[in-house]
Amino acid sequence: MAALFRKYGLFYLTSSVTFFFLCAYSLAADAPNYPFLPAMFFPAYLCGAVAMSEHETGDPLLGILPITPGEIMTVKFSLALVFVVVGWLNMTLFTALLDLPSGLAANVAKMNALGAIYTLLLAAGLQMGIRFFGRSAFHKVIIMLTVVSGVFGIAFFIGIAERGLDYPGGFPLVPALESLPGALVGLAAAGAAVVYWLVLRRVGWNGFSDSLDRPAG
Amino acid sequence: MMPILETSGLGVSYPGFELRDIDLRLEPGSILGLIGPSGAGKTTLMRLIMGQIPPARGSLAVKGLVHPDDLKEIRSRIGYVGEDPPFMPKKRVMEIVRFAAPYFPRWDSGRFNDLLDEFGIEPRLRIEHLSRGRKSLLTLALALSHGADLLLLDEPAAGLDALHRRKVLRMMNEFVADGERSAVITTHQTEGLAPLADRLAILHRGRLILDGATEDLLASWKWLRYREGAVSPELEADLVCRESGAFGHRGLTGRYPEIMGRLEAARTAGDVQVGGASIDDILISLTGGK
Repeated sequence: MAALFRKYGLFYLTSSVTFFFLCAYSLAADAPNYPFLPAMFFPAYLCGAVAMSEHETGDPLLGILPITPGEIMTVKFSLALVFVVVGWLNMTLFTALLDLPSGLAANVAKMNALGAIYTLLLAAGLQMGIRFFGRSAFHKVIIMLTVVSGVFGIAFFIGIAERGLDYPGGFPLVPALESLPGALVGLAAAGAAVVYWLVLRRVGWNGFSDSLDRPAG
Repeated sequence: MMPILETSGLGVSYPGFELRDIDLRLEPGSILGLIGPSGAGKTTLMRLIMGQIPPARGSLAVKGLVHPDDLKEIRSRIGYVGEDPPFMPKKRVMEIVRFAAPYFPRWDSGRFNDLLDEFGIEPRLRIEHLSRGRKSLLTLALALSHGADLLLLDEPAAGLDALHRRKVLRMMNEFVADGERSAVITTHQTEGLAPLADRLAILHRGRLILDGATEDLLASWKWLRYREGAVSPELEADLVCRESGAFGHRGLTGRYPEIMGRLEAARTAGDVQVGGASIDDILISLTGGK
């Protein structure tokens, strides 16, 4: 199990740090509804990774080692749990350091907790879904979830960008786009993509495969 | 004695393909040659035994360990060499071993290093720099170094030169030599299989259509060359792969011990000749060579 934790630790660490960096940045930009970002993207991304079975997505070496699919899922889910908790603590401490007005701070704390619970429930739900509905069907659900959250996020982003800064409630990334730090967000996103690509190469998170759905000779 | 491998009614289904009713019993010290046409289900059966695919029906036990309850223990007792080497291309050989070894309680580093030396594999090399044959040999080195009781080789000779192919077959023999372990080999190259495998099983369209001792099968299956009218119409109708040639006609029978008495007179008169059949002959006759 220790080797599995090491194997997946880097993946979860890089993805979690990247996402929570974006959250922290949006909070620093004084955007009270910042939890939207982790609530939409992070859970779908992280939980999708948790839910996918290693036999279809990852290192084929695991297929010949005495490791059960359940152990792999346990490791992934445990890491998701750890990073959600660490992320929640980070964001809560960050909120405290910013010394936000009491009403806003309470709201942020509440959103933090809800985001963490939502992530964990989604992770558990996806894992149970795989058990009950099978991997092939569930892959479609995960892909659909990712696409829907991505499309919704982009549409929301474009809508807010068009309405400008006066949009009620604001959107965390809009101020960043209209200033130099906006480039940093873009850089962070590009950096995340690069890190993810490096992780793919390093730990072999190599995407979907339907090999189990085909008969072999 | 407890069998190394035992399956009963084992099966799994895919769209357009079904592996069904697989009953196998493999005793210690035995090598089973599993043959069949492409798409017959050989690899699927190997992956079922390895626990890479969950069976839809039937039971499977390896040395008394029952699938799926003892899946982890079962896997630690199987050395598996699949069709495709299971390595990420950017990994180095030593990284793979460092990752894999802790999972096997009976891992033997000395044995593994000896095998790498024998196969000429440099531990610092990346997988992408190994030939296909070398990758297969690396998989074999892993399979032989963790104290497995059952060796599953799925097309192990693919990509290997004659020298290494012979080496692999020799190692299979050595693996079962102590009489406590067994091996299953699937191959399209049936040449050289008869002296290696003491048992043969033929899979066709997902079903086990033949399973028996190699010696018995080769004794039962014979080519008959005969002149017109030298064999009875009933016997002739029973022959497969019938064709006409210089001698007259020829055909393959799988019941030679039963009919040899009836052919004795014709053999003495020189109207019937009997020749040995190869494993390929048996395979082709049973899977579509009528």
